[in-house]
Amino acid sequence: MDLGLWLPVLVLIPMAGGAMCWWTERFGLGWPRWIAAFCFGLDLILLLFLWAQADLHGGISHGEPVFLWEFERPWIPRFGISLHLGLDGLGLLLIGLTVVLGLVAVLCSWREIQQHVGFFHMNLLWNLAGVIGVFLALDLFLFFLLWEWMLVPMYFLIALWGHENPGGRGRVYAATKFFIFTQASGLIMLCAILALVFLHHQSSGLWSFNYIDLLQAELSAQAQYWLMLGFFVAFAVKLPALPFHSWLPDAHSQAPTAGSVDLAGVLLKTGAFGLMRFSITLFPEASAQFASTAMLIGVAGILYGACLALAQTDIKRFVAYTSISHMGFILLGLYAGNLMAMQGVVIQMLAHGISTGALFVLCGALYERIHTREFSRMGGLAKAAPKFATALMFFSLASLGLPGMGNFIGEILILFGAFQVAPLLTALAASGMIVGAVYALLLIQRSLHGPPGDLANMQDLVPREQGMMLALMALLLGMGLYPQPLLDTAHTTLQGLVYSFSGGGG
Amino acid sequence: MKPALLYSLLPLLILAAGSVLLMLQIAARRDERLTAASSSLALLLALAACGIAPAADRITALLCFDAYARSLQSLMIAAGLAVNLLLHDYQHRRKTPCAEMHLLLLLAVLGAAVLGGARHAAAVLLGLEIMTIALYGMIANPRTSPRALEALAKYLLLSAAASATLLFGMALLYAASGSLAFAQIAAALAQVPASDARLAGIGAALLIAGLGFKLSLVPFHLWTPDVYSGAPAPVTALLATLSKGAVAAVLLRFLSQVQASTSLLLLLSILAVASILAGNLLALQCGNVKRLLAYSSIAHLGYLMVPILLGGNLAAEALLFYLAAYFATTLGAFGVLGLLPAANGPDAEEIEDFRGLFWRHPGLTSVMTPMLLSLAGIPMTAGFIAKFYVLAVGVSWQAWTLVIAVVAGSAIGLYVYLRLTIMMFQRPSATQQSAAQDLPAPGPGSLATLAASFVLVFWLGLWPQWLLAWLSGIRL
Repeated sequence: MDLGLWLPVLVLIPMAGGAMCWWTERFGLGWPRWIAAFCFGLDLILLLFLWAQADLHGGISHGEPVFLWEFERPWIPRFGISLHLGLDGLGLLLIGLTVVLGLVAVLCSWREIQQHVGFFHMNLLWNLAGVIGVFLALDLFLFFLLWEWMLVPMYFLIALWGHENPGGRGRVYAATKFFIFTQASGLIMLCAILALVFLHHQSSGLWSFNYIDLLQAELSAQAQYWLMLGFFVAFAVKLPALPFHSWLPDAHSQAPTAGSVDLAGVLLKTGAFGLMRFSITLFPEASAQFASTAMLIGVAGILYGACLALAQTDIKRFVAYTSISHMGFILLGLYAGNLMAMQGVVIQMLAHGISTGALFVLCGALYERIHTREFSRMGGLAKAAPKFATALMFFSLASLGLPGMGNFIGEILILFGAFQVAPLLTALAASGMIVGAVYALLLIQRSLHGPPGDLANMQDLVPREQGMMLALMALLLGMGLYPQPLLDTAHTTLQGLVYSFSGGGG
Repeated sequence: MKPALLYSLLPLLILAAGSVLLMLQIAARRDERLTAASSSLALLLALAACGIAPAADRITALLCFDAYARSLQSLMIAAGLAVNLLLHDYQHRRKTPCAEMHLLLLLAVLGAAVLGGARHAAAVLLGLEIMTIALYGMIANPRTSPRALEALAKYLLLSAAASATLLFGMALLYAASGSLAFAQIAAALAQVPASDARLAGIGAALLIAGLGFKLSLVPFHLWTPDVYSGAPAPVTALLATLSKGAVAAVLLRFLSQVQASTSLLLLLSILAVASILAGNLLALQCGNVKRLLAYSSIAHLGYLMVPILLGGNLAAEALLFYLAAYFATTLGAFGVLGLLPAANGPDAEEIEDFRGLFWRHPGLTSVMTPMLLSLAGIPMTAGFIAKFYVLAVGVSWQAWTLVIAVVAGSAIGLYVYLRLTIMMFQRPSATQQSAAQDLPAPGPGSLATLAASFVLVFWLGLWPQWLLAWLSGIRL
């Protein structure tokens, strides 16, 4: 049987599950929660099955990207648009991350969300269905559709279930800012996609939005550069890279816990994925030309995010700024363009997704108990809630890049790889890790130690949360101690990427 | 004219004969329900006639029935049918039955259909006046409402001025070229001396100003919000769809035959960009939903101007798809507006009326939300494919200024539609919760229209191939 048929199923399970969640709310609040958890569980099983079947040592790609399975059906033949999905090793890993964090998001909102539970889970499932679709899409039109599709549920998640920050500008403001940033940049990408398709049409006479066809498009150097920038802007906003980051702290701090987990863990990764799948692969020469600028932006993001994190008094904004810093590493590694850095990028994406997701779950648990996110009102939590403190400690250390955890592998590989290309920038980036250590320790010190704040009698983690934390810790440790299976899985994709970056074998 | 060509006129003939018969019927028996039924029947027949009438490039000097006209007329008649159903339900609910409204509607559709097949300046004037004069009567209904009368006065005066401008423009074109048929104007203008060319240029500019008023392009848009909010919701829907769509279609036909000079194109581009930006920006601060939709229509006509002024192979296709998507969306949105209970005034139009709507009326909100998302151009809705087409035309001509304007306008517009959307999902205020009335169930007509809009918005958004395949052969 052709396993490619399972690819649309990966997207359809959460889609259908979302509709069911909404509908079954009338029977009781437990229904949507269990259905959502069940859908992600099912997706996870399907994914593990596919992983087991995957022939990861398939042919090494020479310019032509290699996919494990593909699924293609005509959709809008008028413009050569098809429902074209394809799974490669990188996509497999990222979808795995999506599903795991989806499960975490459902579990962490078990108690937090009490209003409109069915509608909440529908938005959550539809959002992640869009994300899974983005990781699979091989038709640029379909990709764009899903890219924008995942925003609408996210908008609702933030705007309806978000936190109202006293004195702040509110959740609707944050949600709208997030939406306008990403949608406007998305429209720029749409223009770039259209221009690419038209240029391809002019040279070949064929209408096609197919990724594989468009790889062959003949473009002038100037056109390539402009188109690459069009894609880059959209992905850089999502990542977020430095000048386009301002939506992120607002969105993160106002979003409900599940929304933050989703945003930080998965949505940011779609930006990095987009750069790898589209921006770099479609326009390799222009990307190589742009690489030093992109690396500079990445390093600026590392330092900027780290420094701003130091100044935060709100724990969620703090984690949000550290995300900007970590995403800077990804940009740096991607444009370093060698295999080692790319491998680092993949590990960093996965590890950051898990560690930041876990940190946001902990922030959410904290907020649920003491109803504040201000550091000034915490302190001494280690005594009141030792399990909570252990988890927070673990993931903070992970986020500073302690050896033994996935984040360390990611950052060190990126730095090793980038050093070969740009030693000075890499040195600067490495100094960002020092600031990273300072902020992680500051987080621990401010919240867990010191004189107990006025809210120090806190309930410790309940078994549901403990289980979640233990599972994430195990994943992160596994990634840090034995990353080889992950690297093997993504190897073919990364090799193709490096190949196209180096100018097609030159 | 050969008698065989009369068959090509069948849709128009049915609409005209239907109007006359309807008038007689009303004279004999003044019954709103009966009139609604027979006018719907006439529209259905005309729609069927659009399908079977043979194509003809030239029926008379004034009219043609090519593929473009056929699609336009079908679209106009279908929109008219939807409004007819909404109108019946609307009047029924508010207990202001007025049989003449259906007659006027039929006439407005006739005017729009004439515009769809116009190949001559006189036909433009005829169609426009039939449509506009019918709309006068509809806007001012019920006659006792001061707001409706105010809206009428504004529309009447400005519309008359616009018609005069249009006529003057036609006269100048005639003076320069010696003809009023589009094709002959084009042929004659190719070989006129410079002084006459300048005359023709002024004439074309006046013509565009006159049509620009009907399209409510900036700076001819000032009447739009007032008239939209003053008129009853179904009539506003008619104004937003039929009258604008027909005029836009005529403008495309005119420009595709009469090659516009560069300065004229520049003028049109300025109008388009100004409409896109001003429409979206004005909608930002607007607290009244009908006015908001008025500003939104200004912006949407601005988007639509992009294919109109650029022309080319994709333009007719893009325009027709855009109109189909915009019609489905707008009719759905105004259909919901007409069904909602209002705190004060005849229609629910204050943005506060929409707070928490989802938790009070989930069905209506489930229709309204995709309509707003479609207006915003979110993927998976018809509005996205429409915007995709507009951008495709812009990119294919490398008209980057226009493309950037469309992108910027869409980004601003997002905020506008999201503000309203999220309002519907917010928790209702205490007073609203206590005052939550039970809605009388929507009538079958409204229900059918809303269902059709809902289905079309998603169908065209997800599976547009059937319509694209139909439209893809249409050239001008």
